[in-house]
Amino acid sequence: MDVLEEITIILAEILDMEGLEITPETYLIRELGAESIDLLELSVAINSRFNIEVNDDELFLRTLRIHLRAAEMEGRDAAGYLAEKYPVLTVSRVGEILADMGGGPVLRMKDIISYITCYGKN
Amino acid sequence: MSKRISINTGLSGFVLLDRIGETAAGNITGSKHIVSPPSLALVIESLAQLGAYHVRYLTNFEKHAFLLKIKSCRLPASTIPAGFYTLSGELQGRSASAFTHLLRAKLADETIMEGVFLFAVVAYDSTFRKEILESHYRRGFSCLQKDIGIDC
Repeated sequence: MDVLEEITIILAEILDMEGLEITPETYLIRELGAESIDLLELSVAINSRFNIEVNDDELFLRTLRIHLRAAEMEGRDAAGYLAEKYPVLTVSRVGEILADMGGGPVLRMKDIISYITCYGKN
Repeated sequence: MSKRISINTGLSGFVLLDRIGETAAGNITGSKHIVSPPSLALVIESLAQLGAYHVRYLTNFEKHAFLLKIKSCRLPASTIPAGFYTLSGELQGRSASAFTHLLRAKLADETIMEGVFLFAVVAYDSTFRKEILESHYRRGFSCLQKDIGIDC
């Protein structure tokens, strides 16, 4: 079972949604309606299942806008600044996020998968 | 105009635990004497308090802990008996902001109630004030471990 399948099972239980169909592109908040309490439950489930230390702020990109403000105040390039703060994200993903922020919370399943793949020991 | 109200729960400081026993990184034990007429709500609240104390212990009392949710809860089919309950909690998972525990209440080796409790932690702030809460919970934890109650 791959990481996407495992997270889908965990999320289906947390969100109480049977037959949940999720792809790496699925937005957790925009599409699935995940709330902050659901994300906290997901973070401890990831810790339990994958045996990795979970920093919720990094995993769920919670401090994204704070980092963007900080980059602006420091006169730094936003993409470079975010890449430093979120080492699990690729340069292209950071670019996608910056282009997508007007649509609402940007967190997608692939960000969760990247975090687990990067820090996971399995 | 703000108005001050007093609520009397009849419970000293709303600390329901009688005692906290063995406490380690992955687990905690405690006890609660449920008197007649027994109330399941008191058992659930006692378990929540035990879990929250474990979370505070794990964060060295440097964060405010509170219960978010109870899930996978197994409740008794009928009313619960009074008696001396043994409480236990096992840490199942944790992140920087949340913890889950399997918490269980037993009476004479029979599990009366168990459930998975989700707790969150937040930094102290102007609402959850460090100068009040940190010392309050440290003292409460220490007193309950000494088996002499919260008013020690």
